[in-house]
Amino acid sequence: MPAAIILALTLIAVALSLPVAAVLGGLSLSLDAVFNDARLSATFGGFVWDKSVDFILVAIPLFILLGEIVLRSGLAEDMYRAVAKWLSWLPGGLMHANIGSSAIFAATSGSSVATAATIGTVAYPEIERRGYREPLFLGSIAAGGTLGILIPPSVPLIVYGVLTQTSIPELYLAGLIPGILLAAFFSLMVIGLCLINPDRDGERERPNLQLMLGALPQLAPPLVLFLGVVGSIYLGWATPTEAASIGVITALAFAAWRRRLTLSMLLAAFEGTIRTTAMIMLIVLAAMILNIVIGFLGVIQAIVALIGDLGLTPLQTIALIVVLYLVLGLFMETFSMLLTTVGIVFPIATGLGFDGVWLGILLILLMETALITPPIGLNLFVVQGIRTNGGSFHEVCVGALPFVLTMVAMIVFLIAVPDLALWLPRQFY
Amino acid sequence: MTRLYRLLYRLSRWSVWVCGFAILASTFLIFFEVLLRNVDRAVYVGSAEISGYVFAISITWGFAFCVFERAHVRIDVVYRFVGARVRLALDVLSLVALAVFAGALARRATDTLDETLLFQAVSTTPLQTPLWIPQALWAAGFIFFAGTCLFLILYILVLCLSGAPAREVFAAAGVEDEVASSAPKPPAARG
Repeated sequence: MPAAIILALTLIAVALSLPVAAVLGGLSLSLDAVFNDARLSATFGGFVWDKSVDFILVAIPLFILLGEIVLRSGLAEDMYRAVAKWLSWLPGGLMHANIGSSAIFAATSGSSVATAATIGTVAYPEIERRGYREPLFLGSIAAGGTLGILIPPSVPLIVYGVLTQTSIPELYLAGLIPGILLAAFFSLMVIGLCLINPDRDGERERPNLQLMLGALPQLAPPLVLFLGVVGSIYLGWATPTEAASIGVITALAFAAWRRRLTLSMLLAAFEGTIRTTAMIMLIVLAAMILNIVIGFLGVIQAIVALIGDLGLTPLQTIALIVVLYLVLGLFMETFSMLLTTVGIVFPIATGLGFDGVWLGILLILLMETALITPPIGLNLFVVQGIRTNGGSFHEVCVGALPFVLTMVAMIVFLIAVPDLALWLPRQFY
Repeated sequence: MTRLYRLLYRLSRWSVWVCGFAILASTFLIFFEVLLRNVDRAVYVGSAEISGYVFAISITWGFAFCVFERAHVRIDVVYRFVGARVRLALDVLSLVALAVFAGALARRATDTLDETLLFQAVSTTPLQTPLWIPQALWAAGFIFFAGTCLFLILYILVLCLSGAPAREVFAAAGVEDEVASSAPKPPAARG
């Protein structure tokens, strides 16, 4: 009975917009006080310290800092314009540049919000200039941005790896093919929609080989960054954290070369980095504490037993998990969603024989979907935030809908063919 | 009181800058160690250990910065549909919830520091770092985090009781009119 009351109070607290981390922390403290006489709480200090000095977590601020530098040095803008020259002759024009440059930016940064905000700021003025129908265009920015957490280096994959003790290099390899496929599916969706109704399209440019070749040098910095970071991991030169340091220093060099490396730029990058890192880490620490407490209380075993009693096949169980996440994703901020649930979902799924690496990619895909499903979808808010014409939020949601459907198709595809994620890691490990 | 608010905010921002430089310095240290290992031979520089300390300290000081910047994640399903007064109440309630959690963490962190001091604990690495040094800075960050929450609660209450204009109270509490509060502001939009 006390458990039911505590659970109800937790849900109410979340709905009342109390900070997620504080709710999880409060939940851990009260569970421990009620069922354990607060014996576990006495160990939290040492526990939090031990977790916080973990070298693998240092990769989080470094990858965020890398994205901040790429963003603030103007590299991302140049990249967008270069990609636009290559892709804007397709039906759907610049929308492919939105998706394509998001995919490339994702390969240098681990954040979906930063990706959507960057690409969105550059792309937005083009809507009016080239006469695009706003909703689908905005949807392509929001959806493209979500690629940031699937294509390596991805911050949520690091957190997933740390929480479930899954190899991060393997997770990175596993995310690559689904990430590229998803970007391709987004583009196909845009082409299809624009062929059905050409009104959605804007003024198209003809392919101009000279311009295309001229734009190539602008694509070099992101390529160098991506190869430097990902390459050094797979050549066995560096751990993910060390690879992140290589990325940061390369990005600093590019910024300095472009004469954009100033003190105020650095300070702004620091603020952004620590703001995002601290925001993530408070929830991570709270979730880690909660996992200890509920692990101690046997909650996970109880839930696993409960699921066992339902008599579902493994496939039905995964389907149930996917549906639950899709529903949760409508309302929850994605990072909190992953962190609060992974401690329960991981043992259930791996217990049924599913691969931990594959599950990581599936959960990231579900997080991506949650980022663009209303009413709470972070990327929808970001895209709405860059609009200057005061259009309604509803339009952004409508524009994102085709991409939500694409993602759901991708999720089904990944469940049907687990090798989409698992084939590439197998070649290396 | 407003002065104190600005002072604390500025202090928090400075701490973030210092931590930022520390992170950058550890980046170079890590890079240096990787370079040495791959070009010449493995040398123990201790970059993993030091950057771990820098990370632990940076996040605890960052927690307070997130309070000032309203960056702690909140789910605003209800928040967006209520008026400014209810929002104010929810904002204060949020600060109280954060203060409780921050207070508990600060207490446990201080306990850990206490033990370290008692046993004069050092790290079990070639560096043999006296652990009280990083832990003191780490625990101080938690205390500053808890203190910031408490101060903001007090500040808003004082503003309310002194009959300050509603706009001022709302600004202090960070009541937002349009933008969804669960969204951390995108870095690009901040310039």
